[in-house]
Amino acid sequence: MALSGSRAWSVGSRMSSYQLASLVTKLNISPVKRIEFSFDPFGTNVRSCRDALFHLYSNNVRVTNVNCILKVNVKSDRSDPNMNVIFNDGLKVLFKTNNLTTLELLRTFDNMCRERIIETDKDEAAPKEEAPKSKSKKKKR
Amino acid sequence: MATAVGLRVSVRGWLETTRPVSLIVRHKAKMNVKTRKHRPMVIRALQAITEPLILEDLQKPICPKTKWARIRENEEEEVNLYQDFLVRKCKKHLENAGLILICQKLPMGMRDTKKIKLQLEAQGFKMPVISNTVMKRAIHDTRWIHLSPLLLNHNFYATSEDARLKELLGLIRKFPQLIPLAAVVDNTILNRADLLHYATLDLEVERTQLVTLLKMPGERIVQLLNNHPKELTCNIEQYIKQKGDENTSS
Repeated sequence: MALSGSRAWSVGSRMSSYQLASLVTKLNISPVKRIEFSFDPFGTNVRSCRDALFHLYSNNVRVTNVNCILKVNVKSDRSDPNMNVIFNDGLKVLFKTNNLTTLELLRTFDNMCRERIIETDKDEAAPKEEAPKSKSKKKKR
Repeated sequence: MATAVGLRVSVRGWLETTRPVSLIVRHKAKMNVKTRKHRPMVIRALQAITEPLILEDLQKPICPKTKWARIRENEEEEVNLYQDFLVRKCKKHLENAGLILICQKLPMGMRDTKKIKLQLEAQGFKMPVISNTVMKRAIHDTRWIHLSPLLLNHNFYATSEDARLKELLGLIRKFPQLIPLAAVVDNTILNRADLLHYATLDLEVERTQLVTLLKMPGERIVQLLNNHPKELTCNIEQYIKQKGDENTSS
């Protein structure tokens, strides 16, 4: 069996790799408290879990939240791979990565993180709007 | 709009701005550049009817820019001599190694990789850099074929001629970017649990226990075979003593 350097690589897989690369550069895990990866390396459909572990461990992503704990449990019981995410607000999400691609997994994770980041920005902006109203009341007197 | 026709061209190829040979002037509207003129209906119909029917394979559009797109399924794969060389080197490495440790490699800089390599080489271990494609070809149709599920992502390999798994794990524990997944020790594939259990074993104690266990059945057989004659001799001696005591008393 001779494998050449020029492999048959479909356009679809290349597009998904571009999308994945662009997604990983924009990941922000600031609302995440802890992420636990558990997989059996000899099991099936472990690629997405291991890929996600690799991308979330990169410096670009870890810089967004230095206090986030990344834990890896390597099992030997042929169990299904999963990714358990605990957010700062107490929400726990279990991603069963058996039938998910890396792009799908990271995309949903990114959407959840972005929702929480928007909520925290709104909470921070709300008290700032109340402060100037009190000053205007004083002026009317 | 005027168009100049017949400009002279010098030896160097530059257009000389001399007087043109002839000059065409159109005093009508601007020249139509954007909208195309349609051909007559008769000609278009004839063209559509007489268009050749091309087979589906030849009709597939291939973008000339991307080299991957040029490959088709039925084409023969090219032989890559350098990859063949790497595969042979990898096979030799696997056959000579008494211990192969496979780890998940997380992102780390060149300094850390260099540090790991130096520490491993100081202890007598090797750190071969093998890609998944080369490894897949190397373990194809060999006794290491069952390692293929591990060859998915970024992997780290550490090898040695002796099975010094405990020392190797002690070195790798210092680097959190390396997560041990499996090992091949004395031609047996160990998963994570077996790997950690093997590292905790004291091999000399285990070997002595094994030797005693192997000796036990043989010793038992010898003991059982010698038991009957021993008893017989003891009984005969006792009988002789009793007889002698009786004779002396009588």
